Amino acid sequence: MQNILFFGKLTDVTGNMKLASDIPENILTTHDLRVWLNTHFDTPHTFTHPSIRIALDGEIAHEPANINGATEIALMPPVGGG
Amino acid sequence: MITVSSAAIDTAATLKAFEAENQGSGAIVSFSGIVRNTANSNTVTALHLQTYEPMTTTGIADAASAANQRWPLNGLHIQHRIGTITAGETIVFVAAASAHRRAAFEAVDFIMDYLKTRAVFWKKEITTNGEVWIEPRPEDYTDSARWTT
Repeated sequence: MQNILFFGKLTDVTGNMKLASDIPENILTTHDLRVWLNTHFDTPHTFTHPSIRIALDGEIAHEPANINGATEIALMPPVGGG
Repeated sequence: MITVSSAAIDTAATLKAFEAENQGSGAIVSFSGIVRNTANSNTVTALHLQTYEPMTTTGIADAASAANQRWPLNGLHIQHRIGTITAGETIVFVAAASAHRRAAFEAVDFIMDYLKTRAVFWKKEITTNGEVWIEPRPEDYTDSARWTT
């Protein structure tokens, strides 16, 4: 079970800060995940946009990265500052 | 000391405590950031800030370490609110103590530039005309770039 988290403007697309369902077993990389999320949320480019970074267990991923073994995957739009 | 919390910031009490902790310092500089009640001709009622811990606090701690390496500080206090902050409330408080004023002024400025452009916050502006996620302004990035030279 992997926790998929969304922040900022992505939550306007997902409606939630956490993915409510499990991701399919054939989703193995950050690229797979981005493409699958576009389909899952019926949005053409939101999750494959290069401004969206992915953190695996709290560390920014150097993509493409394998997501096997990560318990928490965060999809992060550009930060907004404090 | 670094605090990222939804709790209200009592700037007077926090500054007084910081002064007490840093007796002997010749200079204490503090900055309070207040949520403005207007933006782009809209009436702002509140800001809503999201964080991703531990990345948010770790990043601020790294910025604090960089400030301590760059200036001879006796103390550094960074307090930032998250959640919903109403217009007129304090959203951030930063204080630095040093032997002389220039180091304290610059350290606070440096930390604020980090917080405005690189800190792991997502900020939604809630106005009477709707809600919008906002990103740093170009001048925020220009300000922050001063410290890389």
